[in-house]
Order: sequence, then structure tokens, then C-alpha cells
Amino acid sequence: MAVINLKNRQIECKLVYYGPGRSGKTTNLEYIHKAFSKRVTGKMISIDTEGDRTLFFDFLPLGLGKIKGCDIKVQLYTVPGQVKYKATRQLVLKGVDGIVFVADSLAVRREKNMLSLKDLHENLLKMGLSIRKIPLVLQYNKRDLEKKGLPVMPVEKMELELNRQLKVPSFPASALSGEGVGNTLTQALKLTLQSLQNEFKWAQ
Amino acid sequence: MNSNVVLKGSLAFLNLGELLQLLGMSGSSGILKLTSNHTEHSGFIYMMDGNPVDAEFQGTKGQDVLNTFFGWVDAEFEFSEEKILHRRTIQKSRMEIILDGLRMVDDGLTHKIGQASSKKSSVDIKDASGIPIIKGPLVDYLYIVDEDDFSDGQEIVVQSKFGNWLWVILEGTVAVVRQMPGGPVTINKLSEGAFIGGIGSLKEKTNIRNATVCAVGKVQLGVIDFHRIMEEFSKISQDLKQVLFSLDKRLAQVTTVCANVHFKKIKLHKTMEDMQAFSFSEHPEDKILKIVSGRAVIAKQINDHFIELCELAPEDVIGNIPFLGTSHEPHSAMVFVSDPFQVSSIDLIDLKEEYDELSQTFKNMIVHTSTSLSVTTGRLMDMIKKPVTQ
Repeated sequence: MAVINLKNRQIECKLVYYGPGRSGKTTNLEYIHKAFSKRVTGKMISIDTEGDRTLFFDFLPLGLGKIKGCDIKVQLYTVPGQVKYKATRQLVLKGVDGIVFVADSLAVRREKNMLSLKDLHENLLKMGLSIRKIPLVLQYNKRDLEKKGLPVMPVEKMELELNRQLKVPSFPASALSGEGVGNTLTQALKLTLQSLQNEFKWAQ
Repeated sequence: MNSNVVLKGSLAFLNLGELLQLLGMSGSSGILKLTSNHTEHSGFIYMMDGNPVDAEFQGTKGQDVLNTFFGWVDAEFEFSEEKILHRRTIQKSRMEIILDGLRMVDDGLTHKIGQASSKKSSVDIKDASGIPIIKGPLVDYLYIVDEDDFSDGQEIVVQSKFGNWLWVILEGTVAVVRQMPGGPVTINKLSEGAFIGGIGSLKEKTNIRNATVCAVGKVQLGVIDFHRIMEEFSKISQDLKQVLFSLDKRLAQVTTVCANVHFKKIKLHKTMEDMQAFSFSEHPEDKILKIVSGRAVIAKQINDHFIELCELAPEDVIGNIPFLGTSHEPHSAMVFVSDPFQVSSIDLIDLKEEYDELSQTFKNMIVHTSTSLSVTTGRLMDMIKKPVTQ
């Protein structure tokens, strides 16, 4: 549910990076903040939450047009992974318009990915949203670790385990080097804005 | 300042994080006033062009004060629009304030004031020494068979003695005192509309009082028509009876923990040995759970430690009962269970229907027990904030 700011004639929507702790959500956002600095408005806010950091900044997507004459501003967030950050998670997820689920390709994190996806499903349900309907993109992060000889799950296997039912766009990525970060973001923004367009048409 | 009030409401509905975002989006300037039943003074946040620039509570100012406001979960707000000419004591940006403020609540660094359930008819305030005073709803005189007067200091019921008389306070205040080996501890005070003697009185003929209640000043009590209540009680389902007994059991145990905290005789656990955290997510929200086998411990988290509030056994009930609002699990306390642990479910809709059919006096008595439980839990958490022996 995007918010229309009549004062600035802006539509503010919310894109949240979700995923298990240390899967690379903040690395994604840090890369975006650096690489697309011209589109970033305001500074990046970083809150130290246990096991992870919670990040936030505003982003102006270019070339994606306007909706009803309003500019579009995207608020990018990461969500704290730890269970205890309930109040923070609730605020971040409230009114979410699109989600990037960052999964960890490391074989040892297999179960953590599944649990976190299940957790996302439940948290969305609590807000009356469905994981099958919300704009969602999966990212299989840390592909680069394979070259370092660490056991990494094949993309096909991750696709089967995480995306078999969801069937949403997915991207392999190495957020540390920025590989796949842009693709993931662009696709997530595209889906989010499409869904907003539909919503506004419906409201007309 | 009240003349320019443009927005008012309850933080239980719109929390401070959401409210600040809303005011921020509209670029508002003015004063946000917060009022809570749980504090004597109001809190103020000064907003300039949608950003908090200063906060004030009881003469203290700045970012730290603003952070504590995120713990005001049960408070009212009022925003009055006006020009703000204020020295900036807060430099952080709006979203940073919100995210960090909520993080501190989650980390347990900011203490929650007031419970999230604000729908109770009973209200609680504190006396000069910080002891909570529990009031009750309006008394239904149809259920009162006699009136009793007590003078200051007189004991109405005595801990460990048998008795199942029930009273409702018509006038004055009484103190609920738990006698401990180290001496007496005042747990809370009760005032007009509150009950003396509770669900336990209905359980068995030989009910043992678990606290002493004595008059503070002149007190007038109404004696409740015990037979009438008992008759009603005998007709309710076994499930509802179990819910009520279990609630009463919790109150007795939490009262003991509260008294122990007073004497700093409380253990904080790093882990709950041989037990595992129980997740409610696998169970439907419209059900509560009755323990069939095993045991459960209800615990509160304080930083990295847990404090045990009560231990429940087969026949006891766990889960959230929205119409009672006990401020325990699943939102405000954790449940740890033994292995093996088995539960059966009780339908909340059936239970609510049955509860709605009860007489007002019976309902008042139940609400009084759940309010006492949440107030006593709140009091022991307040006391724990002071250093305790680990």
C-alpha cells in the first residue's frame, strides 16, 4: 500500500529486503547506495541490530515513469532477521509494496533460508498480505563463494526448494562485488510499480 | 496550546513510529503531547517541518527522552500545530529516530509503560510510593447482600487462612499484602469496584487465601451473593472453568514472584534448562491451548536473561485470550515447554460466547483477576529494573 504525499506530489512506496541473518541484505543496500548514489536522496540510516544491521534510505527510480502525474519515491529497507526485533520488523513491513528475498547460497544456510521464507509468509499473513500476491523477487546471493572453494548450493536446487511454488523472478548474485544487485533491484521495482499501476487503475 | 489541536488519538492504535512518519510526511510543525495513565506527567515532542527537534519529560530534554517515549504503548496523543522556535537538541533524522527507538524497545533498553490492551474497564494508577491501585467497573448492587465496614489497618482476609467470602469495594482502598519469610510485602492496592477474593473462592469449599488484605483508612465493602455466583459458576463449561482456574493460578504465582523480587530473591536464567521455546505460530489464532501432558513455564525476557513468572501443569491453559488481555504470552511473555509436551485446543469463539452470557458481576470478577495479573506482572518488571541478584 503506497502512500500518496500530496504536498510533494509523490507516491512513496516501500521495498523491503528480507532474508535470514547475514545473507547479504545490507550488502545489497550498501551497494545500491554507492552505485546509484545520484538516485539516492538523503543519507543512509544504519541501525545496529543484533546479528545484522537495519538499513534505510530513499531512492528515486529513473525511467520508470510517473503514476497520475506523481513522481515515485521508493523507500528501501532491510528487515532485522532476529526474532526479538518485533516492533522494528512490524514498522518496516507495515504497508510494504514489494519484497526482495535474499537467500544465502552457502550449503550450511539451506535451512535458514527456508525458515526465513516461512517467517516472511507468516509476517505478511499477519498484515493480511499474501506472499503469492505481493511483488516478490528472489536473490540467490554469495555465488562468488564457490570460487573460494566453499560448498554452495546449485541455483537449480535453490530454485526447487524456495521457488517451486512461488514461481517469481530469481537472480544469482554476489552482492559484495555488486553482481546481480542491479538486476534484482530493477526487476523488484518493475513488479512493484506494475502492481501499483494496477492498484491505481482499479481505484479510478 | 490546546486550541490548535489538529490530530488526537491513541498510541495503542497508531504507535509512535507510525505517528511520527505521518506527521513527517505532511511536514508538520508543532507540539506532540503524550499522556499516559501510567505516568503522572505528560511528555512532549517538538516537531519542526516534520522532524522531531526536541523532546521533554519532567524537565529532562533531548534524544534519550524521545527514545523512552517509544515505550509508551498505552497512551493518548494530541498534536497541536504551531510555529516552533526551539533549540534543537535532537540531530538525528526522522527515520533514524524511529528505527532506533523501536530497536531499543525490542532490545529491552526502553521499558514499556502500560500494557497494550487498553480495552479494560478497570483502570490502574499508582499511589505516592509507586504501588499500583486497581479500580474496578461499576458495581451491580443486585449481587450485594450486605455491607461491611472496616477501619484503618483492620485485616479483611488473612493469608493462609481458609475462607471463600467474596467482597467488592464500595468505598475506600485496601492493600494486598503477601506475607513472606522476610516480612510483609504490599503487592498492590485495590479501590472502588475491585474484588477481594477471586476465582479461587469458587474452586473448593476450603479455599486458602493467598494474601492478606487490610483496610487503608475507612473502607466499606459489599458482600457478594456467593450462592448466586456459585450457581452461575456451576453451569459454565469445564473449558471455561479451566481457563479461570489457570488464570487464578497464574496470579498466585506471579504474586509470589513479585514478593520475591522485593527481597531480591529472584533467579534470572540465561537459558531455560531442559525446556524449549514454544511457538504459537503452528496453532490457529482462534484457539487457546490446554496442556495435556508436560509442563510449561511462562517467562519474561530482560536483556539476555529470563525471569520465570509461573509454571503451568496439565489442565492449565496457555495462549492469548483477547477478551481478557492478560499481557502475557504470546506478545509480552515467552512460553517454554518440557519435552514431551502435548496440548489440546479450546475454541475461542465458543469461549467468548459463553463469557458474554455471564452476569456483569461474574465478568467483573474475571476481569479483575486478569487486571491484577497484568498489573502485578508490570509491577514486578518495574521492580526488576533496579539491580537484582543474579
